[in-house]
Amino acid sequence: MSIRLNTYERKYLTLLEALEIINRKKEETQREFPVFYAAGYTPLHLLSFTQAYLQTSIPHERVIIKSGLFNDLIGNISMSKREEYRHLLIHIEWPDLDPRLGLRSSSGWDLSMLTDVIETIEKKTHALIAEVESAAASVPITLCFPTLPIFPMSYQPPHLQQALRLKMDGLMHRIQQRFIDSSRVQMIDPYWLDLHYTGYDRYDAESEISFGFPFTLPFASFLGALFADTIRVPAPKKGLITDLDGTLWSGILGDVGEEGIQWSLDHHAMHHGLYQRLLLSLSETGALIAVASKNDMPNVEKAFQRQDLIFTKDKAFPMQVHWNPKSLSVREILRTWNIGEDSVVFIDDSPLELEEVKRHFPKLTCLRFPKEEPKQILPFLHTLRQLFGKRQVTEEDKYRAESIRASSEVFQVDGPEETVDQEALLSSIQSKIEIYTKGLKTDTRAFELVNKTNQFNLNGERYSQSAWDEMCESPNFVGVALGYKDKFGPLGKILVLLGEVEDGALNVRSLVMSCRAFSRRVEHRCLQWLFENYDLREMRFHFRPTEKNGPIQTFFKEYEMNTEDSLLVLKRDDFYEKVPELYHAVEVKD
Amino acid sequence: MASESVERLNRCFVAVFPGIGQNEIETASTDNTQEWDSIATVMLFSLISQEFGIKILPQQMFELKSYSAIHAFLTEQGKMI
Repeated sequence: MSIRLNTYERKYLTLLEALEIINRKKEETQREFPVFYAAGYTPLHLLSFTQAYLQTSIPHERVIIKSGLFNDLIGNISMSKREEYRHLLIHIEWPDLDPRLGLRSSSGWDLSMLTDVIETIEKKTHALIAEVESAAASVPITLCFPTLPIFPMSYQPPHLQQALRLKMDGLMHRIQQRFIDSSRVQMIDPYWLDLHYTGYDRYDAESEISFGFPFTLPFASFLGALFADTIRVPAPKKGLITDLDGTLWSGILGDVGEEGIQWSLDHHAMHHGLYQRLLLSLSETGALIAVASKNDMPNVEKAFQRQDLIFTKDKAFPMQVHWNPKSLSVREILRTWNIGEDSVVFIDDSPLELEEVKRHFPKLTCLRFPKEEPKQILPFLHTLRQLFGKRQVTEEDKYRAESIRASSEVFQVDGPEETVDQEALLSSIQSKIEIYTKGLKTDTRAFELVNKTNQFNLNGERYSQSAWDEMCESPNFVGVALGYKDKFGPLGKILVLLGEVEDGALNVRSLVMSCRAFSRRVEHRCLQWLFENYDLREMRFHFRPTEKNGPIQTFFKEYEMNTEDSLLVLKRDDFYEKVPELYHAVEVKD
Repeated sequence: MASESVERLNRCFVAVFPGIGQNEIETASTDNTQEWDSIATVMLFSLISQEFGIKILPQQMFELKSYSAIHAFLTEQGKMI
């Protein structure tokens, strides 16, 4: 089961479903994924929901969530430092900052108290920032700000803006400002919660009185999903396949012609225009956009010649326009992009087309464009942003689409070898490899590649920031990142290898290569450089087959290594006997 | 064959007491189920409230101390079809 934080057409878990996920039998041999949940309330069902959502996104590890003591948020954050956790989740509620803001406090709401409340919150805020800073040095953190409504303590009518309220929010903003640029602390945006739940729908006073658990179950499920998605951030989707008629624009092109299709406010079709704007923006941040449409190509060509189109044809590649089933279009697009179906989103306004595609590609994310429901456009667009969202845009993102287009035109990805003279091609493209051996610890692109690459991946191992730091600092560590370019343009950093050298042997713990670099023999050149540079006798690959790492298995078979073993050894002589001709120039960058 | 409601109630018990045997569910009570503590009570009745769409007051929770008592309560509420 794949659960993602889609606000559009998303089904959230019930408590029963969550507990059943948690209770599924786990292999004792599975590695643990321990999380500490720091809160002042009893986490109860929210802990169960968080654990269940997290477990579905990390099926190969055992998620364990520990929590601390009731009514001691700061003490609990401190307690988390006593053991090693993969993530620390901190949820602040107002009573953690001053108990008088909670239901359980017995003090009154007299006027003199209001000033004192602000002073108390201010002091607690300082302490909290210090504690979070200290914890962030050793563990990545998710921080969630108060989600529950405050009681009407002030004499002012609650629908009017109040100084007290502004000051309280200002103190929360102070924490947010402190950590907004931190790579170790992620913060949940309170505005996002406001979009989905009103305060009344979040709070269950009866449950708080009886059990110390203040949330309604639906809100707890929503919040648990949000927590899980920030603890284990899903890899951003890489590609989007869009329909045209009724999706990219309003109207049937074959019926109304290129002048009759619309996406503007004047024609009540602005939701199509907004969708085009988002596609353009996604494309600029590295998402691949393709078209799958049942249409006649000459008509589509004419439509894309319209000067007022927001999403232009040069951003779409490839274009599958014909009258065959859409699943065939999707198959062809995935082949051209050379990425897995689980990295792709398919958008169509027709439930029938969505169903047809989903039957053939069950792991594809299929979303219905809300053609008849313009009011749904905002959650729909938010969902797309969530699916493709990333914390930063890299240089590689900017030229990904162009490099795939160039590759598909030049290299025969999955195509028959005999259609192209590979040797003649590879020797003529002026390929150059740049090797980076320093600064891997802070190399966000290398970190991203290791954590999202599926196909050419030694063992599927993913790294938390702390595990990554630890590995980069380990004795005898060897880490290289390779950049690639040729006459068709740069691909950016496309390969990362991590390991350690021991007595002339390199233990390779991680080896990943972007699918964009396939067919260029970059991986062979990497090994050759390592054999030479470290004067290696052999390399030992710590291999594990995964559902998707067929391409690296094929690579190992070229060197006659048995991929049924977990430790694959490549001797220097065997490498040189079998390595194909390599044409790249090499430059060591540091 | 058990009705859908009985199956759902049984699923709630298994979710809260994962070690319970299928033949032990219908005789389960606070006396013979070691794991049936106050936390389990809250879990169990939160589940039942959500699954059967009913409101169960905290004082009722601590009075319904066995599977059969809960079954009877749900029947009374018209939820065991």
